Parts: sequence; C-alpha cells; structure tokens
Amino acid sequence: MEDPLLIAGLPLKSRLFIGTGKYGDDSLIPAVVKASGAEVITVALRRVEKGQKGILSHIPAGVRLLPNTSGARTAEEALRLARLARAAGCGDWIKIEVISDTRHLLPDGYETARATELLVKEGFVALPYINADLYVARACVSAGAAAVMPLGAPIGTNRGLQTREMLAIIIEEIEIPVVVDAGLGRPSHACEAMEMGASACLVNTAIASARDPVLMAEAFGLSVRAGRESFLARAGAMKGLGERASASSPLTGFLDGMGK
Amino acid sequence: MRVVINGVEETDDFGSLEDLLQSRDMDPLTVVVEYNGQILRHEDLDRPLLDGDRIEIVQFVGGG
Repeated sequence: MEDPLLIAGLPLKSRLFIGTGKYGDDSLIPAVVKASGAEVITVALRRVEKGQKGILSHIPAGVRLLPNTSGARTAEEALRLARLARAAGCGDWIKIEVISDTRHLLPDGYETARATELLVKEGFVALPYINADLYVARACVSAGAAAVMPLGAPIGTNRGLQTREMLAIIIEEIEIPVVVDAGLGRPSHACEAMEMGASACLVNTAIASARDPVLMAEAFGLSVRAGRESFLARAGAMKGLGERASASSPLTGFLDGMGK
Repeated sequence: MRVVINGVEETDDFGSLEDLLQSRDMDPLTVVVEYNGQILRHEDLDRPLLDGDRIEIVQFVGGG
C-alpha cells in the first residue's frame, strides 16, 4: 500500500526512525537498519577521542541522516551543533534536542522552540524533540518545524506511552507530522502510537538494549506498519466497560434444542 | 606554542591542522573542525596553528 510520510517534501516509505546509540557492537547497525526498514537514522556529534572511529562507516548508503543536537543546553548551543553537523556533509536535517536537566533528561520547551526558530532561519529541516505539550508543539510549528517529536516517556526508560493523553491531543491538533520519540520500549508501544494516529515513531534504546537487536528491529518495523494500517483502516467502536457483548456469529437458525 | 584542542590545553609545535589530524589518526573527511569558533572547510585545513588557537574536532557517533 502506498502511504508515504512526507517530511520537508521527502517521501518516506518507512514510518520507523531508529537511533544508533547504546549498541554494544556498532557493527550490528547495518543489519539493524535493514531489518527495521528504517530510512531515517539519528546520530550524535561529539569531540573526537584519540583513536575513536565515528559511526558513519556503519551506516548504509541511502538512508537519511538525522543528527541530533544532544549536549546542547540552549538554543545557541543547538545552533552551533547543527552547523557543525551540516558541515560534516550529510544534509540539513536536524533533530533539535535541548536539555539542561541531566537527571530526567527532559527537553526544555522554551529553548527548543527558540532553537527551532534559529535553525529554520538558517535553512535547516528542523525536527524538535519536545515534551508532549501542545503549546510547545504549536510554538515549534510556528517557528517552521518540519515535524514535532513528542516523548512517550523519559528517554531510555522503555516505559511506553506514559504521555498517551497528551500525545492524542497533539496528534489531533497539530497539522505537521508527529513523530513519537523516546520511551517506546516494546513494539506494542510503537504500534499503539501509530494506531492513535502518530505519523511515525523513533526508537533507539528498545532496539539497542534487546538481547537480539536485529530481531527487535524487525519487530518494531512490523509493529509500526501494523499500527499505521490499523489507523488507516479505522477501528470499529469500542464498547464501554461492562456493556452488553455483541456476538460475532448470527444468533438465528440454531438447531433444534439449542440456543434456548 | 599553546593551543586548546577539544578543551585540553596542549603545548607543541603542531604545524597545520592537517598535520594535527594526521598525527592523531583522524580522517579529515569524517571529522569537522571548528577553528576559533569558525567551521573550516576541508580545503582550509592546511592553515597553520597559532599560539592561543582553540580547536574543536568533532565527528558523528552513535546517538538517539
């Protein structure tokens, strides 16, 4: 079924974005990317340590790189990181991540919206990572974001859609793509996000921390697709708790002596 | 000559940025160099290092 996700005019077949952090062995990444079907891959930018090799050699050709601005605590720091990332020659898509709270790692909505404005002015395709907060999402839309990426739960926690109610509101109200990012710990969480109408999901820890990351990547790819198709198929009404059941088979034409 | 490289002050005769990268086994095509706050293009890496310069050398690593 043709159902591309359009981000900044680029059609994406897969609605699963994956991260490249926390792998015990980075050489697994090509197989993870392939099994997941993902076409958008996040990376981070860091000072080069002596003898340390970068991640690019593990990233298959043809995927869209989405560098993040992790480490930035202000909009200006995010802009500096974004410029460095662009200078690396891998395009102008940036996941804006502005965090100064080192314990809970929650994104700073005000600085994130400001960073979105600064980056968009410089021609970046900005995908801000935000709390599941409608007003922050709206500020990012006004600033020219290409998508918003609200969190399902604090990053790296695998706790699933703890922000479900707020995500539903953002999905309802925001016109640009909504990519649920952070906290998705199981394929069922991603599936539910997609069934709710999210445009895509971004998963890192849940795949990287699985015993078999390649198999888990495949499971996430399937679940995101299943959730999307379920959303498009429009689920039937759900009965209320304790409400009368409704038979799936006809209640007429029983044999003699049955159904009495 | 004293130069700050990735936040660490070092004293040496470094030559050019290109020499510095080479001596540390860093591939100029996969790293990005910020020289006194300005991002350098690869073709500008032959610039000699001067006393007091601040250099940041970054690359892509795994991240979410």
